[in-house]
Formats: sequence, C-alpha cells, structure tokens
Amino acid sequence: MNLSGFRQRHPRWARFLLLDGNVPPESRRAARWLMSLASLGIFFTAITTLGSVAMLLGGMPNPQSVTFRGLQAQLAHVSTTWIVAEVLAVSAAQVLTLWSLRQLASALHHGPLLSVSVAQRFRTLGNWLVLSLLIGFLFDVVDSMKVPAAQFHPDDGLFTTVILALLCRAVSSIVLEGVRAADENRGFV
Amino acid sequence: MPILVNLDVMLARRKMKSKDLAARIGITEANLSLLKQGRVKGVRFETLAAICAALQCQPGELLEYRADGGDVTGG
Repeated sequence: MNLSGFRQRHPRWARFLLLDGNVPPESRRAARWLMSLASLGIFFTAITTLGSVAMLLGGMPNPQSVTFRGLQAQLAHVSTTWIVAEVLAVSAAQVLTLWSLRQLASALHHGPLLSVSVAQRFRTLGNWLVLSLLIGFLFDVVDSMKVPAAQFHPDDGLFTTVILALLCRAVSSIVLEGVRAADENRGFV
Repeated sequence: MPILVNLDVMLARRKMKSKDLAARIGITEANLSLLKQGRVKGVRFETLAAICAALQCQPGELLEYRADGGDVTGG
C-alpha cells in the first residue's frame, strides 16, 4: 500500500485515519463522546442492577402495582437466587462490554488511530460482545424452560450483536493491516 | 543489501552539509542520516529527484549496485 499516494488522493480520510501521526480534532471529539456515553452506560447499568437486586431481595416498592403482580406470576417458578444470579451476570457482562468500549474510545482519543493497541481494543470489544450475547442467550434458554410465560425467540438484537462483534473483529484486522503498512512506510524516505 | 548509497561522497563533492540538504529537500536530518547509512527500506522517487536537484547529480551517482556488497553503508 502506498500511503503517501493515499494521503494525496484522500487528504480528509488520511487526516481522519491519523496517517499524519496526530489526532485530528474531529476524531478526538467523536472519541470523547464515545467515552462519555460508555461511562454513562456503565453508571446507569450499575444503578439499574443495584435497583433490581434490591427489589428482588427486599421486595417491590409498590407490591400492588401491575408490574409487580405480573413479575410475581412469572417468577413464581424460579428461585430468587437464580434471578439475582442472572441479573448480576448479565449486568456484569454489559458493564465489561461498555468498559471495553470506553477503553477503545480512550485509545482513539489519545491516538494514534492506527496502532496495535486500538486493534487489540477492537478485538476485545468484539469478544465481550460475543460473551455478553452468550450469557444472555444461555439465561434466556434456561428461563424459557423454567418460566412458562417466558418464550425464547432469537430477535433482531441477537443478530445485530453478532454482526457488531464480527465487525469489531474485521475493523481490528483492518487496523492491524494499517499498522503494518504504516510501519513499512516509515522505512521509506 | 547490495545497493550502496554514495550520498556523503556527493555531499563532500558539492561541499554541502547534511543539515542543509535535509532542509532543501524537506526531510528530517534523522531520515537523511538513515539514508546515508543505507538503513532504509527504500527511497521515494520524489526524494531521489529532490536530492538530485539539490546536488545537481544523477541517481546513478548516488546509488551503486555491488553483487558482493554485504555492507549497506555507502560513502
């Protein structure tokens, strides 16, 4: 790959991909937004998890509510321990996925974009996406066997997550190839 | 690598300092030093053309092929 030719033909892309070696403001801004959103996601997942666990262990704030009665009917066949374990496992997987997204955004923010560290973080995010998908999938399957009202059906979210995970791995390979090309380019004067 | 870079011979002939040449052709002194020592993977045509223009020489005067050349440094 001839990077100097690419830089001349597509200056905006070259600037965005940091072929010039420094982080352009637009990439930095996007990465900062991504970091903030991932942090918010982690915060709200933690709050929701704590709330759910508190409700499961301590009881609903309003036991007469429609939500409570519906949940009580559904969860009558399942032990509280199992539900708490499910909530904690799924939330932990979500938090770790969001954390890896935050790490990726941090690497993109500090630059350079074409680096082994960015490639590894894309790959890690892909792995966490698959893992959280598997955890959710396993609990859904077990729930569908235990809870009569619960029915397991693969939805759009499942396929979207698989596609995102594969995309992360593909981007990781592309970044690694970019790193290799950039290294080779540095050998030319 | 059997390609020898005779850049410092040409610099001496033209009585030009590496620093001045680097400034004229628009590359860093570090890169020019690597080029002089032959420790680069390749030279872009635009760099070669700039060096030839600055030193008023031909590419053949800067580069030399030696089949037995184990030493990459020129000069």
